[in-house]
Amino acid sequence: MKLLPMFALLIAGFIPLTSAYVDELSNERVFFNKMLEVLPGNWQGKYADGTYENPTSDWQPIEVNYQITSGDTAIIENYVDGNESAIMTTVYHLDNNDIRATHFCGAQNHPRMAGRVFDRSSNTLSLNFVDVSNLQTPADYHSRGIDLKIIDHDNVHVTFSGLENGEDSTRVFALTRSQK
Amino acid sequence: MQTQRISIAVLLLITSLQSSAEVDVNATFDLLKQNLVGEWRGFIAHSGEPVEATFYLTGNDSAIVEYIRRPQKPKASMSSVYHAADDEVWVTHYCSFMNQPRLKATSFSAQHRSLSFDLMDVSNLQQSGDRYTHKMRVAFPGPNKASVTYTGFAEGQETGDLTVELERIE
Repeated sequence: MKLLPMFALLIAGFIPLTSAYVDELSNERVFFNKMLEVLPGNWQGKYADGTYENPTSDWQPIEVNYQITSGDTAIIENYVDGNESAIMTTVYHLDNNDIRATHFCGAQNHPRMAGRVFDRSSNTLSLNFVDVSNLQTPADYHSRGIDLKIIDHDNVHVTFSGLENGEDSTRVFALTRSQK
Repeated sequence: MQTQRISIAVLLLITSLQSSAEVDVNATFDLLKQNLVGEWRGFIAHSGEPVEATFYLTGNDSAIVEYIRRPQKPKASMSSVYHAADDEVWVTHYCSFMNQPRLKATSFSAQHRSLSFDLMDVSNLQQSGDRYTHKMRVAFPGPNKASVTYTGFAEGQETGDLTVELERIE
């Protein structure tokens, strides 16, 4: 009989945790659907080191395009130069209820990321590092995270977090839907 | 064109000096880079369905993106990304089966001018019996020609090949 209150307490504590977990999972799938709705097409904007609010380098122009593929289960993000050649590419996809990404980086390595935190207030999904291929040395630059923030239908921020020689860095891409 | 044929011949000669079971990452990835990048059109072999394909470099030439468009079935477009992974060549296939197998190059055939890939893992399988691509083969059967074959697998057995035959658009 003494076990019953303990058992009830355990269940009572477990339910909100599982609910939060399910809520988190379903948020990623909902966010992916938002990505499918908002991202496809051409974007233009600027990028700088640091954050959007506190850039630590001069803003530089950039163009990005997004394509959907594979039965709406993957989104290809291409950062292109002035000759429309791809500089780097990220492919986002669903793995059941989890958003995953592989980033084919200008540093010539290919980190994989998994969605871990969804901030409803800012509509930002944070993907964190899982593993990386083709890293020549541990000290080489490689991305460790991607924050994808959908501000509205025509404005998106993508922030890459990186690590090189033990030092963290961020680079933010502020994109607006292209009219062309 | 002449340079392309010479490049294929040279790379095939280099790789044929090794066992056909071995994959030299630099030689084979260079083979893919030099002979896939560009615009292609073609068809799916068993049905004749027309396709269009674009292969382009990214990641400072460390990866090749393959985007195959199916005008008659837009939702069934599919993509793959080939890349060097240390001393191996990998490909992640973003499949029209709506899952994402990762494969690695396991053999190169100079005779058939083809590179074969075998499965490492697959994401987004909804159920254990779902079909997924467990082998791929990229071949160059002739000048300005390429083919990509995807071999399906489900419930313990292969389910057949889907081969895309491509011809480079001049």
